[in-house]
Amino acid sequence: MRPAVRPSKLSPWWLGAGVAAVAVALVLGVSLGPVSLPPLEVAAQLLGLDSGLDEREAAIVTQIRLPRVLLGLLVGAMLALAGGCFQGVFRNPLADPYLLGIAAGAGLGATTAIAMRADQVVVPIVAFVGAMVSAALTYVLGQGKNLILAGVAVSSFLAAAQTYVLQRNVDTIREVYSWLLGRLDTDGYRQIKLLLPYALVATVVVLAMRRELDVLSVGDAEAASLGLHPQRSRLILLTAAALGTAAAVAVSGLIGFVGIIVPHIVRLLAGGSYRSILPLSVLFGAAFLALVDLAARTVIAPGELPIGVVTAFFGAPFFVLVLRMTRTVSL
Amino acid sequence: MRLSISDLRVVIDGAEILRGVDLDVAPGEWVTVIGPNGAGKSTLLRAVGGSLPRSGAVLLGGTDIASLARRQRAQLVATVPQHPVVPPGMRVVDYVLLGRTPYIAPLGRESHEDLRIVQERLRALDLEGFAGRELETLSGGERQRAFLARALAQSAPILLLDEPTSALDIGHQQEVLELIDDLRREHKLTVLATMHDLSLAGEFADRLVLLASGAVVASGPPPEVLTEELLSLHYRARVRVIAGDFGPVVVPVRA
Repeated sequence: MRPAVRPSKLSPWWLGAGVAAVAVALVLGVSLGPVSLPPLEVAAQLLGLDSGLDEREAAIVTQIRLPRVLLGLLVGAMLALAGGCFQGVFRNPLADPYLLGIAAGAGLGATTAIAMRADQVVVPIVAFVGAMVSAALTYVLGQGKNLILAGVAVSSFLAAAQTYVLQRNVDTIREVYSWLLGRLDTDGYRQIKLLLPYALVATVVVLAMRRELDVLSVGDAEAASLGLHPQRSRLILLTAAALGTAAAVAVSGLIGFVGIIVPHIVRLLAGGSYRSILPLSVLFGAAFLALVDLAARTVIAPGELPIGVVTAFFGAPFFVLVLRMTRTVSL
Repeated sequence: MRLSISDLRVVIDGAEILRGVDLDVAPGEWVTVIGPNGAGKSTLLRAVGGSLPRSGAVLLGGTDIASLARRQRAQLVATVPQHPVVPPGMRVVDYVLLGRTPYIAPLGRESHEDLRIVQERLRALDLEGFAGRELETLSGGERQRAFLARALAQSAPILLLDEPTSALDIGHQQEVLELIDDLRREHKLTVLATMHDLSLAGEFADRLVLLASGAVVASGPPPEVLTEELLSLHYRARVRVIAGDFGPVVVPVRA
Protein backbone atom coordinates (compact mmCIF):
# COMPACT_ATOMS: atom_id res chain seq x y z
CA MET A 1 0.00 0.00 0.00
CA ARG A 2 1.24 3.41 -0.88
CA PRO A 3 0.73 5.96 1.89
CA ALA A 4 -1.57 8.78 0.90
CA VAL A 5 0.44 11.54 2.54
CA ARG A 6 4.13 11.38 2.05
CA PRO A 7 6.78 12.84 4.31
CA SER A 8 8.81 15.82 3.18
CA LYS A 9 11.75 14.99 1.08
CA LEU A 10 13.87 16.67 -1.50
CA SER A 11 11.63 17.42 -4.47
CA PRO A 12 13.21 16.50 -7.81
CA TRP A 13 11.79 19.74 -9.25
CA TRP A 14 13.61 21.92 -6.76
CA LEU A 15 16.73 19.84 -7.15
CA GLY A 16 16.54 20.43 -10.91
CA ALA A 17 15.93 24.14 -10.36
CA GLY A 18 19.00 24.30 -8.10
CA VAL A 19 21.21 22.59 -10.66
CA ALA A 20 19.85 24.91 -13.36
CA ALA A 21 20.57 27.96 -11.17
CA VAL A 22 24.17 26.83 -10.73
CA ALA A 23 24.52 26.30 -14.49
CA VAL A 24 23.08 29.73 -15.28
CA ALA A 25 25.30 31.45 -12.70
CA LEU A 26 28.31 29.61 -14.09
CA VAL A 27 27.69 30.56 -17.70
CA LEU A 28 26.74 34.18 -16.95
CA GLY A 29 29.65 34.61 -14.55
CA VAL A 30 32.10 33.37 -17.13
CA SER A 31 30.53 35.25 -20.04
CA LEU A 32 30.18 38.73 -18.55
CA GLY A 33 32.99 41.07 -17.68
CA PRO A 34 35.18 43.76 -19.25
CA VAL A 35 35.16 41.65 -22.42
CA SER A 36 31.70 40.14 -22.79
CA LEU A 37 31.53 36.83 -24.55
CA PRO A 38 28.44 35.18 -26.07
CA PRO A 39 26.96 32.88 -23.37
CA LEU A 40 26.11 30.05 -25.77
CA GLU A 41 29.68 29.86 -27.04
CA VAL A 42 30.97 30.04 -23.48
CA ALA A 43 28.66 27.16 -22.52
CA ALA A 44 30.01 25.14 -25.42
CA GLN A 45 33.59 25.93 -24.37
CA LEU A 46 32.83 24.86 -20.76
CA LEU A 47 31.38 21.58 -22.04
CA GLY A 48 34.55 20.99 -24.04
CA LEU A 49 32.76 21.37 -27.39
CA ASP A 50 33.88 23.33 -30.40
CA SER A 51 32.90 26.83 -29.28
CA GLY A 52 34.08 29.23 -31.95
CA LEU A 53 35.93 31.33 -29.32
CA ASP A 54 39.40 32.41 -30.35
CA GLU A 55 42.46 31.48 -28.35
CA ARG A 56 42.51 34.68 -26.32
CA GLU A 57 38.81 34.40 -25.47
CA ALA A 58 39.20 30.75 -24.54
CA ALA A 59 42.03 31.72 -22.20
CA ILE A 60 39.84 34.37 -20.55
CA VAL A 61 37.26 31.68 -19.97
CA THR A 62 39.43 28.91 -18.62
CA GLN A 63 42.29 30.80 -16.99
CA ILE A 64 40.71 33.95 -15.56
CA ARG A 65 36.96 33.79 -15.18
CA LEU A 66 36.29 30.10 -14.62
CA PRO A 67 38.46 29.80 -11.49
CA ARG A 68 36.84 32.89 -10.01
CA VAL A 69 33.29 31.73 -10.72
CA LEU A 70 34.06 28.26 -9.39
CA LEU A 71 35.47 29.81 -6.23
CA GLY A 72 32.30 31.89 -5.86
CA LEU A 73 30.18 28.77 -6.29
CA LEU A 74 32.19 26.85 -3.70
CA VAL A 75 32.30 29.63 -1.10
CA GLY A 76 28.59 30.35 -1.55
CA ALA A 77 27.73 26.68 -1.18
CA MET A 78 29.79 26.43 2.02
CA LEU A 79 28.40 29.56 3.66
CA ALA A 80 24.78 28.69 2.85
CA LEU A 81 25.20 25.08 3.98
CA ALA A 82 26.87 26.19 7.21
CA GLY A 83 24.12 28.75 7.84
CA GLY A 84 21.35 26.18 7.36
CA CYS A 85 23.23 23.71 9.53
CA PHE A 86 23.81 26.25 12.35
CA GLN A 87 20.12 27.21 12.26
CA GLY A 88 19.24 23.56 12.90
CA VAL A 89 21.96 22.87 15.44
CA PHE A 90 21.12 25.94 17.52
CA ARG A 91 17.38 25.79 16.74
CA ASN A 92 17.57 29.43 15.90
CA PRO A 93 16.38 30.93 12.60
CA LEU A 94 18.87 33.79 12.84
CA ALA A 95 21.97 31.64 13.26
CA ASP A 96 24.58 32.35 10.62
CA PRO A 97 28.35 31.82 10.61
CA TYR A 98 28.81 35.58 10.53
CA LEU A 99 26.37 36.47 13.30
CA LEU A 100 27.50 33.67 15.60
CA GLY A 101 31.06 34.99 15.61
CA ILE A 102 32.30 31.85 13.90
CA ALA A 103 33.43 33.75 10.82
CA ALA A 104 35.18 36.29 13.08
CA GLY A 105 36.99 33.45 14.85
CA ALA A 106 38.06 32.04 11.51
CA GLY A 107 39.05 35.58 10.51
CA LEU A 108 41.25 36.09 13.55
CA GLY A 109 42.89 32.72 12.92
CA ALA A 110 43.50 33.50 9.28
CA THR A 111 44.77 37.03 10.02
CA THR A 112 47.22 35.67 12.56
CA ALA A 113 48.42 33.06 10.11
CA ILE A 114 48.85 35.62 7.31
CA ALA A 115 50.55 38.13 9.62
CA MET A 116 52.99 35.48 10.71
CA ARG A 117 53.61 34.73 7.05
CA ALA A 118 52.52 31.14 7.47
CA ASP A 119 52.25 28.93 4.42
CA GLN A 120 48.95 29.32 2.56
CA VAL A 121 48.06 25.69 3.29
CA VAL A 122 48.22 26.40 7.03
CA VAL A 123 45.76 29.31 6.85
CA PRO A 124 42.53 27.24 6.71
CA ILE A 125 43.71 25.06 9.58
CA VAL A 126 44.41 28.01 11.88
CA ALA A 127 41.12 29.54 10.71
CA PHE A 128 39.34 26.30 11.65
CA VAL A 129 40.81 26.40 15.16
CA GLY A 130 39.61 30.00 15.48
CA ALA A 131 36.16 29.02 14.20
CA MET A 132 35.78 26.16 16.69
CA VAL A 133 36.97 28.26 19.64
CA SER A 134 34.56 31.08 18.77
CA ALA A 135 31.67 28.63 18.19
CA ALA A 136 32.29 27.12 21.63
CA LEU A 137 32.55 30.59 23.20
CA THR A 138 29.30 31.80 21.65
CA TYR A 139 27.52 28.61 22.60
CA VAL A 140 28.68 28.65 26.22
CA LEU A 141 28.02 32.38 26.70
CA GLY A 142 24.65 32.33 24.95
CA GLN A 143 23.34 29.04 26.24
CA GLY A 144 19.82 29.47 27.50
CA LYS A 145 20.14 33.22 27.07
CA ASN A 146 20.60 34.92 23.76
CA LEU A 147 22.78 33.20 21.23
CA ILE A 148 22.85 36.00 18.68
CA LEU A 149 23.80 38.67 21.21
CA ALA A 150 26.52 36.37 22.53
CA GLY A 151 27.68 36.02 18.92
CA VAL A 152 27.77 39.81 18.53
CA ALA A 153 29.90 40.12 21.68
CA VAL A 154 32.24 37.34 20.59
CA SER A 155 32.52 38.88 17.11
CA SER A 156 33.39 42.31 18.49
CA PHE A 157 35.96 40.89 20.87
CA LEU A 158 37.62 38.84 18.15
CA ALA A 159 37.52 41.77 15.73
CA ALA A 160 39.36 43.85 18.34
CA ALA A 161 41.96 41.12 18.74
CA GLN A 162 42.26 40.97 14.97
CA THR A 163 42.83 44.73 14.70
CA TYR A 164 45.56 44.44 17.30
CA VAL A 165 47.26 41.68 15.31
CA LEU A 166 46.96 43.87 12.21
CA GLN A 167 48.48 46.94 13.84
CA ARG A 168 51.39 44.91 15.13
CA ASN A 169 52.05 43.69 11.60
CA VAL A 170 51.61 46.79 9.48
CA ASP A 171 53.59 45.29 6.63
CA THR A 172 50.76 42.84 5.89
CA ILE A 173 47.92 45.28 6.57
CA ARG A 174 46.99 45.88 2.94
CA GLU A 175 46.86 42.22 2.14
CA VAL A 176 44.77 41.39 5.20
CA TYR A 177 42.47 44.38 4.84
CA SER A 178 41.42 43.64 1.28
CA TRP A 179 40.86 40.03 2.29
CA LEU A 180 38.85 41.09 5.35
CA LEU A 181 36.19 42.86 3.30
CA GLY A 182 35.51 39.65 1.47
CA ARG A 183 36.97 39.03 -1.94
CA LEU A 184 37.07 36.30 -4.49
CA ASP A 185 40.54 36.83 -5.87
CA THR A 186 42.05 33.96 -7.69
CA ASP A 187 45.38 33.16 -9.18
CA GLY A 188 44.61 30.13 -11.27
CA TYR A 189 43.03 27.25 -9.42
CA ARG A 190 45.15 27.48 -6.26
CA GLN A 191 42.37 28.74 -3.92
CA ILE A 192 39.96 26.16 -5.28
CA LYS A 193 42.38 23.35 -4.60
CA LEU A 194 42.84 24.71 -1.09
CA LEU A 195 39.12 24.92 -0.34
CA LEU A 196 37.83 21.85 -2.15
CA PRO A 197 38.87 19.06 0.28
CA TYR A 198 37.38 20.88 3.29
CA ALA A 199 34.25 21.74 1.35
CA LEU A 200 33.77 18.11 0.36
CA VAL A 201 34.18 16.80 3.90
CA ALA A 202 31.83 19.42 5.36
CA THR A 203 29.20 18.84 2.67
CA VAL A 204 29.25 15.05 2.92
CA VAL A 205 29.03 15.03 6.72
CA VAL A 206 26.29 17.66 7.00
CA LEU A 207 24.17 16.19 4.19
CA ALA A 208 24.51 12.67 5.59
CA MET A 209 23.14 13.90 8.90
CA ARG A 210 20.34 16.10 7.60
CA ARG A 211 17.66 13.77 8.94
CA GLU A 212 19.09 14.09 12.44
CA LEU A 213 18.71 17.85 12.22
CA ASP A 214 14.97 17.32 11.83
CA VAL A 215 14.98 15.13 14.96
CA LEU A 216 17.02 17.75 16.86
CA SER A 217 14.30 20.31 16.13
CA VAL A 218 12.16 18.83 18.94
CA GLY A 219 14.84 19.69 21.51
CA ASP A 220 17.44 17.65 23.31
CA ALA A 221 15.21 15.88 25.83
CA GLU A 222 12.75 14.62 23.23
CA ALA A 223 15.47 13.80 20.70
CA ALA A 224 17.14 11.66 23.37
CA SER A 225 13.85 9.89 24.10
CA LEU A 226 13.70 9.07 20.37
CA GLY A 227 17.06 7.31 20.62
CA LEU A 228 19.41 10.08 19.48
CA HIS A 229 22.55 11.37 21.20
CA PRO A 230 21.77 15.07 20.75
CA GLN A 231 25.06 16.45 22.06
CA ARG A 232 27.08 14.06 19.92
CA SER A 233 25.08 14.78 16.75
CA ARG A 234 25.32 18.49 17.40
CA LEU A 235 29.07 18.40 17.95
CA ILE A 236 29.65 16.47 14.71
CA LEU A 237 27.43 18.83 12.71
CA LEU A 238 28.94 21.91 14.30
CA THR A 239 32.47 20.72 13.62
CA ALA A 240 31.70 19.93 9.98
CA ALA A 241 29.96 23.27 9.39
CA ALA A 242 32.72 25.20 11.18
CA LEU A 243 35.29 23.42 9.02
CA GLY A 244 33.46 24.47 5.86
CA THR A 245 33.08 28.04 7.15
CA ALA A 246 36.74 28.27 8.16
CA ALA A 247 37.98 27.05 4.81
CA ALA A 248 35.69 29.48 2.98
CA VAL A 249 36.76 32.39 5.19
CA ALA A 250 40.44 31.49 4.74
CA VAL A 251 40.23 31.90 0.96
CA SER A 252 37.59 34.61 0.64
CA GLY A 253 37.53 36.68 3.82
CA LEU A 254 34.41 37.68 5.70
CA ILE A 255 31.36 37.41 3.47
CA GLY A 256 28.31 37.83 5.66
CA PHE A 257 24.61 37.02 5.41
CA VAL A 258 24.81 34.34 2.69
CA GLY A 259 24.14 31.77 5.43
CA ILE A 260 20.98 33.54 6.44
CA ILE A 261 19.54 34.69 3.11
CA VAL A 262 19.83 31.43 1.17
CA PRO A 263 18.50 28.86 3.68
CA HIS A 264 15.57 31.13 4.51
CA ILE A 265 14.50 31.56 0.91
CA VAL A 266 14.91 27.82 0.36
CA ARG A 267 12.81 27.15 3.48
CA LEU A 268 10.05 29.42 2.24
CA LEU A 269 10.01 27.84 -1.21
CA ALA A 270 10.65 24.14 -0.61
CA GLY A 271 9.43 23.48 2.93
CA GLY A 272 10.83 23.37 6.44
CA SER A 273 12.53 19.98 6.51
CA TYR A 274 16.32 19.99 6.68
CA ARG A 275 16.23 17.08 4.28
CA SER A 276 15.49 19.56 1.52
CA ILE A 277 16.84 22.80 3.06
CA LEU A 278 20.45 21.61 3.22
CA PRO A 279 20.99 20.15 -0.26
CA LEU A 280 19.12 23.05 -1.86
CA SER A 281 21.11 25.57 0.20
CA VAL A 282 24.30 24.11 -1.31
CA LEU A 283 23.01 24.63 -4.85
CA PHE A 284 21.26 27.97 -4.44
CA GLY A 285 24.01 29.29 -2.16
CA ALA A 286 26.54 28.52 -4.88
CA ALA A 287 24.47 30.21 -7.58
CA PHE A 288 23.68 33.18 -5.33
CA LEU A 289 27.26 34.05 -4.47
CA ALA A 290 28.49 33.58 -8.05
CA LEU A 291 25.82 36.03 -9.22
CA VAL A 292 26.57 38.50 -6.41
CA ASP A 293 30.21 38.35 -7.43
CA LEU A 294 29.19 39.09 -10.98
CA ALA A 295 27.36 42.18 -9.73
CA ALA A 296 30.30 43.17 -7.52
CA ARG A 297 32.72 43.22 -10.42
CA THR A 298 30.44 44.79 -13.06
CA VAL A 299 28.40 47.47 -11.26
CA ILE A 300 31.23 50.01 -10.94
CA ALA A 301 33.42 48.49 -13.67
CA PRO A 302 36.31 48.81 -14.23
CA GLY A 303 36.37 49.14 -10.43
CA GLU A 304 35.23 46.34 -8.18
CA LEU A 305 33.13 46.31 -5.01
CA PRO A 306 34.26 44.00 -2.21
CA ILE A 307 31.77 41.12 -2.37
CA GLY A 308 31.25 41.17 1.41
CA VAL A 309 29.98 44.75 1.07
CA VAL A 310 27.42 43.68 -1.53
CA THR A 311 26.11 40.73 0.51
CA ALA A 312 25.84 42.98 3.58
CA PHE A 313 23.97 45.60 1.56
CA PHE A 314 21.28 43.05 0.69
CA GLY A 315 21.71 40.82 3.72
CA ALA A 316 21.22 43.28 6.53
CA PRO A 317 17.72 44.34 5.40
CA PHE A 318 16.91 40.67 4.84
CA PHE A 319 18.03 39.90 8.39
CA VAL A 320 15.63 42.52 9.71
CA LEU A 321 12.87 40.99 7.59
CA VAL A 322 13.51 37.54 9.06
CA LEU A 323 13.65 39.05 12.54
CA ARG A 324 10.24 40.70 12.02
CA MET A 325 8.71 37.53 10.58
CA THR A 326 10.04 35.12 13.19
CA ARG A 327 7.30 34.13 15.56
CA THR A 328 9.51 32.76 18.31
CA VAL A 329 10.74 35.59 20.49
CA SER A 330 13.90 33.92 21.75
CA LEU A 331 16.93 34.90 19.76
CA MET B 1 5.53 -5.43 29.11
CA ARG B 2 6.02 -5.11 32.84
CA LEU B 3 7.58 -1.99 34.29
CA SER B 4 9.26 -2.45 37.67
CA ILE B 5 10.82 0.40 39.58
CA SER B 6 12.66 -0.28 42.80
CA ASP B 7 14.33 2.08 45.23
CA LEU B 8 14.48 4.82 42.58
CA ARG B 9 16.36 7.87 43.80
CA VAL B 10 17.02 11.04 41.85
CA VAL B 11 19.14 13.93 43.07
CA ILE B 12 19.05 17.20 41.12
CA ASP B 13 21.40 20.02 42.16
CA GLY B 14 21.89 18.45 45.56
CA ALA B 15 18.17 18.15 46.28
CA GLU B 16 16.75 14.66 46.56
CA ILE B 17 13.63 14.76 44.36
CA LEU B 18 12.78 11.06 44.54
CA ARG B 19 13.57 9.21 47.77
CA GLY B 20 13.37 5.53 47.06
CA VAL B 21 10.28 4.96 44.92
CA ASP B 22 9.00 1.39 44.41
CA LEU B 23 6.39 0.89 41.74
CA ASP B 24 5.27 -2.04 39.66
CA VAL B 25 3.08 -1.65 36.58
CA ALA B 26 1.71 -4.90 35.15
CA PRO B 27 1.60 -5.51 31.39
CA GLY B 28 -1.39 -3.69 29.95
CA GLU B 29 -2.10 -1.84 33.17
CA TRP B 30 -2.76 1.90 33.41
CA VAL B 31 -1.23 3.50 36.49
CA THR B 32 -1.55 7.22 37.10
CA VAL B 33 0.73 9.07 39.48
CA ILE B 34 -0.93 11.90 41.39
CA GLY B 35 0.48 14.23 43.99
CA PRO B 36 0.88 17.91 44.83
CA ASN B 37 3.14 20.26 42.85
CA GLY B 38 6.78 19.42 43.43
CA ALA B 39 6.07 15.89 44.62
CA GLY B 40 8.32 14.51 41.89
CA LYS B 41 5.75 13.19 39.39
CA SER B 42 7.42 14.50 36.26
CA THR B 43 10.85 13.57 37.60
CA LEU B 44 9.61 10.01 38.08
CA LEU B 45 8.53 9.84 34.44
CA ARG B 46 11.75 11.34 33.18
CA ALA B 47 13.78 8.90 35.25
CA VAL B 48 11.80 5.98 33.85
CA GLY B 49 12.32 7.39 30.35
CA GLY B 50 16.05 7.21 31.07
CA SER B 51 16.87 10.89 30.69
CA LEU B 52 18.01 11.56 34.29
CA PRO B 53 20.90 10.29 36.37
CA ARG B 54 19.43 8.03 39.01
CA SER B 55 20.13 5.23 41.41
CA GLY B 56 17.96 2.20 41.92
CA ALA B 57 16.57 -0.07 39.25
CA VAL B 58 14.11 0.55 36.43
CA LEU B 59 13.30 -2.76 34.76
CA LEU B 60 11.47 -3.08 31.45
CA GLY B 61 10.24 -6.65 31.16
CA GLY B 62 13.12 -7.67 33.41
CA THR B 63 15.88 -5.70 31.63
CA ASP B 64 17.44 -2.74 33.39
CA ILE B 65 17.18 0.39 31.23
CA ALA B 66 20.75 1.26 32.21
CA SER B 67 21.92 -1.73 30.16
CA LEU B 68 19.99 -0.66 27.04
CA ALA B 69 21.34 1.47 24.21
CA ARG B 70 19.32 4.62 23.56
CA ARG B 71 17.77 3.26 20.40
CA GLN B 72 16.73 0.03 22.12
CA ARG B 73 15.24 2.03 24.98
CA ALA B 74 13.32 4.21 22.53
CA GLN B 75 11.84 1.04 21.01
CA LEU B 76 10.50 0.03 24.43
CA VAL B 77 9.46 3.32 26.05
CA ALA B 78 7.63 6.19 24.35
CA THR B 79 7.11 9.48 26.16
CA VAL B 80 4.70 12.34 25.65
CA PRO B 81 6.18 15.20 27.70
CA GLN B 82 4.02 17.79 29.40
CA HIS B 83 4.95 20.54 26.94
CA PRO B 84 6.34 18.97 23.79
CA VAL B 85 8.39 21.24 21.54
CA VAL B 86 6.45 22.31 18.44
CA PRO B 87 9.10 22.70 15.73
CA PRO B 88 8.30 25.69 13.51
CA GLY B 89 7.34 24.79 9.97
CA MET B 90 7.14 21.04 10.53
CA ARG B 91 4.22 19.19 8.98
CA VAL B 92 2.19 16.69 11.00
CA VAL B 93 3.25 13.72 8.87
CA ASP B 94 6.95 14.58 9.33
CA TYR B 95 6.40 15.05 13.04
CA VAL B 96 4.77 11.64 13.46
CA LEU B 97 7.55 10.09 11.36
CA LEU B 98 10.04 11.30 13.99
CA GLY B 99 8.57 8.54 16.17
CA ARG B 100 10.20 6.01 13.83
CA THR B 101 13.68 7.40 14.56
CA PRO B 102 14.71 4.44 16.78
CA TYR B 103 14.11 2.09 13.84
CA ILE B 104 15.91 4.10 11.16
CA ALA B 105 19.65 3.53 10.84
CA PRO B 106 21.70 6.64 11.79
CA LEU B 107 22.46 7.65 8.21
CA GLY B 108 19.58 5.76 6.66
CA ARG B 109 16.10 6.68 5.55
CA GLU B 110 12.64 5.45 6.44
CA SER B 111 11.33 2.16 5.02
CA HIS B 112 7.91 1.38 3.59
CA GLU B 113 7.12 -0.28 6.90
CA ASP B 114 7.88 2.99 8.73
CA LEU B 115 5.59 4.90 6.38
CA ARG B 116 2.87 2.29 6.76
CA ILE B 117 3.00 2.63 10.56
CA VAL B 118 2.91 6.44 10.34
CA GLN B 119 -0.13 6.20 8.09
CA GLU B 120 -1.82 3.81 10.49
CA ARG B 121 -1.18 6.02 13.52
CA LEU B 122 -2.48 9.07 11.66
CA ARG B 123 -5.65 7.14 10.91
CA ALA B 124 -6.00 5.80 14.46
CA LEU B 125 -5.80 9.34 15.85
CA ASP B 126 -8.05 10.78 13.18
CA LEU B 127 -5.27 13.00 11.85
CA GLU B 128 -5.28 11.96 8.21
CA GLY B 129 -6.87 15.23 7.19
CA PHE B 130 -4.15 17.17 9.00
CA ALA B 131 -1.16 15.21 7.74
CA GLY B 132 -0.01 17.93 5.37
CA ARG B 133 -0.69 20.81 7.76
CA GLU B 134 1.98 22.44 9.87
CA LEU B 135 1.86 21.31 13.48
CA GLU B 136 1.86 24.93 14.67
CA THR B 137 -1.46 25.59 12.94
CA LEU B 138 -3.33 22.85 14.84
CA SER B 139 -5.61 23.49 17.82
CA GLY B 140 -4.70 22.23 21.30
CA GLY B 141 -6.70 19.03 21.01
CA GLU B 142 -5.40 18.26 17.53
CA ARG B 143 -1.83 18.87 18.65
CA GLN B 144 -2.25 16.54 21.60
CA ARG B 145 -3.37 13.86 19.17
CA ALA B 146 -0.31 14.51 17.02
CA PHE B 147 1.96 14.20 20.10
CA LEU B 148 0.28 10.87 20.87
CA ALA B 149 0.60 9.72 17.28
CA ARG B 150 4.35 10.33 17.37
CA ALA B 151 4.70 8.40 20.62
CA LEU B 152 2.60 5.54 19.26
CA ALA B 153 4.68 5.48 16.08
CA GLN B 154 7.56 4.34 18.30
CA SER B 155 5.63 1.04 18.61
CA ALA B 156 6.87 0.84 22.19
CA PRO B 157 5.01 -1.40 24.66
CA ILE B 158 5.35 1.17 27.45
CA LEU B 159 3.79 4.63 27.16
CA LEU B 160 4.68 7.46 29.54
CA LEU B 161 2.30 10.41 29.60
CA ASP B 162 3.15 13.55 31.56
CA GLU B 163 -0.04 15.54 32.11
CA PRO B 164 -1.58 14.47 28.80
CA THR B 165 -4.63 16.69 29.25
CA SER B 166 -3.30 19.77 31.02
CA ALA B 167 -3.66 21.98 27.93
CA LEU B 168 -7.15 20.83 26.99
CA ASP B 169 -10.72 21.84 27.78
CA ILE B 170 -12.95 19.37 29.58
CA GLY B 171 -14.43 17.86 26.42
CA HIS B 172 -11.07 17.32 24.78
CA GLN B 173 -9.69 15.93 28.04
CA GLN B 174 -12.28 13.18 27.96
CA GLU B 175 -11.81 12.59 24.26
CA VAL B 176 -8.03 12.20 24.55
CA LEU B 177 -8.22 9.94 27.61
CA GLU B 178 -10.82 7.68 25.96
CA LEU B 179 -8.56 7.51 22.93
CA ILE B 180 -5.58 6.52 25.05
CA ASP B 181 -7.67 3.86 26.77
CA ASP B 182 -8.79 2.40 23.42
CA LEU B 183 -5.25 2.40 22.08
CA ARG B 184 -3.97 0.81 25.26
CA ARG B 185 -6.41 -2.08 24.86
CA GLU B 186 -5.79 -2.43 21.16
CA HIS B 187 -1.99 -2.40 21.41
CA LYS B 188 -1.77 -3.94 24.91
CA LEU B 189 0.19 -0.94 26.13
CA THR B 190 1.46 -0.44 29.65
CA VAL B 191 0.62 3.14 30.59
CA LEU B 192 2.25 5.24 33.30
CA ALA B 193 0.80 8.73 33.47
CA THR B 194 0.79 11.77 35.71
CA MET B 195 -2.32 13.90 36.16
CA HIS B 196 -3.54 16.82 38.18
CA ASP B 197 -7.28 16.34 37.74
CA LEU B 198 -8.01 13.76 40.42
CA SER B 199 -11.52 12.73 39.35
CA LEU B 200 -10.40 12.17 35.75
CA ALA B 201 -7.28 10.36 36.97
CA GLY B 202 -9.43 7.98 39.01
CA GLU B 203 -11.89 7.33 36.18
CA PHE B 204 -9.28 6.24 33.69
CA ALA B 205 -6.55 4.50 35.70
CA ASP B 206 -6.57 0.93 36.96
CA ARG B 207 -4.50 2.07 39.87
CA LEU B 208 -3.42 5.38 41.38
CA VAL B 209 -0.13 6.12 43.09
CA LEU B 210 0.00 9.11 45.41
CA LEU B 211 3.43 10.67 45.49
CA ALA B 212 4.36 13.23 48.17
CA SER B 213 7.80 14.73 48.80
CA GLY B 214 9.44 12.19 46.52
CA ALA B 215 7.99 9.06 48.10
CA VAL B 216 4.96 6.85 47.49
CA VAL B 217 2.49 7.45 50.31
CA ALA B 218 -0.51 5.52 48.94
CA SER B 219 -1.14 3.14 46.09
CA GLY B 220 -4.13 1.11 44.98
CA PRO B 221 -7.45 1.24 43.15
CA PRO B 222 -8.80 4.82 42.89
CA PRO B 223 -11.33 4.53 45.77
CA GLU B 224 -8.52 3.57 48.15
CA VAL B 225 -6.29 6.50 47.20
CA LEU B 226 -8.84 9.25 46.58
CA THR B 227 -9.97 9.63 50.17
CA GLU B 228 -10.65 12.86 52.01
CA GLU B 229 -8.04 11.99 54.67
CA LEU B 230 -5.19 11.28 52.22
CA LEU B 231 -5.95 14.27 50.00
CA SER B 232 -6.32 16.76 52.84
CA LEU B 233 -3.12 15.50 54.41
CA HIS B 234 -0.89 15.51 51.32
CA TYR B 235 -2.45 18.27 49.22
CA ARG B 236 -3.44 20.45 52.20
CA ALA B 237 -6.76 20.75 50.44
CA ARG B 238 -10.33 20.78 51.66
CA VAL B 239 -12.16 18.33 49.46
CA ARG B 240 -15.26 16.24 49.45
CA VAL B 241 -15.07 12.81 47.80
CA ILE B 242 -18.33 11.59 46.29
CA ALA B 243 -18.87 8.12 44.89
CA GLY B 244 -19.40 8.33 41.11
CA ASP B 245 -20.32 5.80 38.43
CA PHE B 246 -16.73 5.33 37.25
CA GLY B 247 -14.85 6.15 40.44
CA PRO B 248 -14.70 8.75 43.16
CA VAL B 249 -15.45 12.37 42.26
CA VAL B 250 -13.22 14.85 44.06
CA VAL B 251 -14.78 18.26 44.68
CA PRO B 252 -12.89 21.14 46.31
CA VAL B 253 -14.91 22.90 49.01
CA ARG B 254 -14.40 26.22 50.71
CA ALA B 255 -13.94 26.15 54.47
